[in-house]
Amino acid sequence: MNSAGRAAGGVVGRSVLLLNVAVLCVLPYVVLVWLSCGSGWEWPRLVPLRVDGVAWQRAFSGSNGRAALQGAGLSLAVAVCSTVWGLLISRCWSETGSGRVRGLLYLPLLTSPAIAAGCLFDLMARIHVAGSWLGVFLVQSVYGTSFAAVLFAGVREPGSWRREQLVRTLGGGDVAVWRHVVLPDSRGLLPLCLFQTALMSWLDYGLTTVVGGGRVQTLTMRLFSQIREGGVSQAAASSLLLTVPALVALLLLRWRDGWAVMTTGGPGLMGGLQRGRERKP
Amino acid sequence: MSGTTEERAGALQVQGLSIQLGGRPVLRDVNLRLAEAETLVVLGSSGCGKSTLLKCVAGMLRPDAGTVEVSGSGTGPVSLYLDQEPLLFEHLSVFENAAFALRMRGVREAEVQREAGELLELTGLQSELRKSVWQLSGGQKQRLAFVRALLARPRLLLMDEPFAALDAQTRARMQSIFRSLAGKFRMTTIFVTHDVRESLSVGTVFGRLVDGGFRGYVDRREFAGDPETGVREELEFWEAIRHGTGGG
Repeated sequence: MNSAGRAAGGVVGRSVLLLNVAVLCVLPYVVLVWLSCGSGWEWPRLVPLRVDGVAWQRAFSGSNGRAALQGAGLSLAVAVCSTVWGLLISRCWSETGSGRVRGLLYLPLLTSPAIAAGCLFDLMARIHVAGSWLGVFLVQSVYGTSFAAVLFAGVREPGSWRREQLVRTLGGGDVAVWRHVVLPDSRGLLPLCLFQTALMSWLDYGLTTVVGGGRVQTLTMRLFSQIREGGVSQAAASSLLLTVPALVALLLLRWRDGWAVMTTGGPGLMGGLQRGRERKP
Repeated sequence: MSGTTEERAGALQVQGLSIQLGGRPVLRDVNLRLAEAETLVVLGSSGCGKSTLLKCVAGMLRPDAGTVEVSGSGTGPVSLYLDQEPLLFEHLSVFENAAFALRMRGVREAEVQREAGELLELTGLQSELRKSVWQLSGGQKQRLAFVRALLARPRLLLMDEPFAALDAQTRARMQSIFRSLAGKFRMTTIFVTHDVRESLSVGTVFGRLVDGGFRGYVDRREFAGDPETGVREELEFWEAIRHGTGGG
């Protein structure tokens, strides 16, 4: 095959690959939008009896809207607490540098959340937080904190320790070390960690079901109720609503990265991660 | 730059310093004295223990035996260790990096502006004040680290081959800047290098590490006359070049 033929083959191959990726990524959303817009889905028809958008009107109704707001509040609280605690724990770990301690950070992530929640439920009941927002918050935070600690533990590098020593030599204390070493080193990961832990909480079903005992209603919980009740259109609309925070956060992160590169020429989130890797000897 | 020279200058006395790393003796009974405002160059090949000596003096490594005493007084740190990695703060501007130690000490704004501004001008960084650190070249970063170190007013400055990663021209310029500022601010410095020319360029007193032991020289002449330092070979090389009979 000559070079023109090979080039044409390459273009076709890439196009097919892109088409596959596009279909895989976009198709579920197309189906959800289609399901959410119609009503009267009779088995086994692929088109609804009516396209009326009733599911969307109900999606913003009182109970759904309240569940979404409460879920968002819970996610925000879990994200902030997990990120702060994760950062503190990873910092404590970096001072010991112990491989065993780092292994402990992974422990909560090794078990199934629903099984762990089942085991923890008894404890939650004894301290009178089972079936409450506080209980769900505590259990979700265990997972969020573990995730954050593992994430931040990977940021530490030999240069971090030397910069810390330098700050102290130049007269700085703990606050200065945090301000000029720990936080700048973690800066690229902070929004990522906040976003990921918020998403873990926002989309959580297992922990909320077990520890919340049905009394904690988030949008994810409402979605599963609607699926159980056979409300396909409603479930599809709720599913799409569930993806909104993640999409907004992704857009914000992308905008922030673009803005950072445009204004300072410095790296954005992904650039920061790359630079973090480059620093390591 | 304010701050009296008495504030910065310190004298160093090292006695019986020995250390093993990984079961291998690196320094053996090192004894040396350094008067204030002097620059001691310690010459040695790679892996001979030059950095270990500096780290022991800086307190970054604990020796198995021996003592390190730094005299002098002041508000700055006892010693400050600089190497090829400038360790600048990437979230701060060039000016704020330079002024870091002054800020940590709570020096008044007007003084910060004056002292940092003066030294940044002396080192040719006055046009880079608002830039980010990553916008600087390697030589500029080293100059900035040096300015920051000077403004910290350590009693003893420990320089571990700080210019080794720079190109020849930048390196020569940095040596010249170092010589000029070390003299102007009467810095007491230990400067380790494996480069004969650099040692002669920056040093006022000379020493060499051999097999973990320290050998001091009375003066530059004795240092240059010792065949082990490599000064003679360097001179012969350049003589040969000059007469067109060497240099490959």
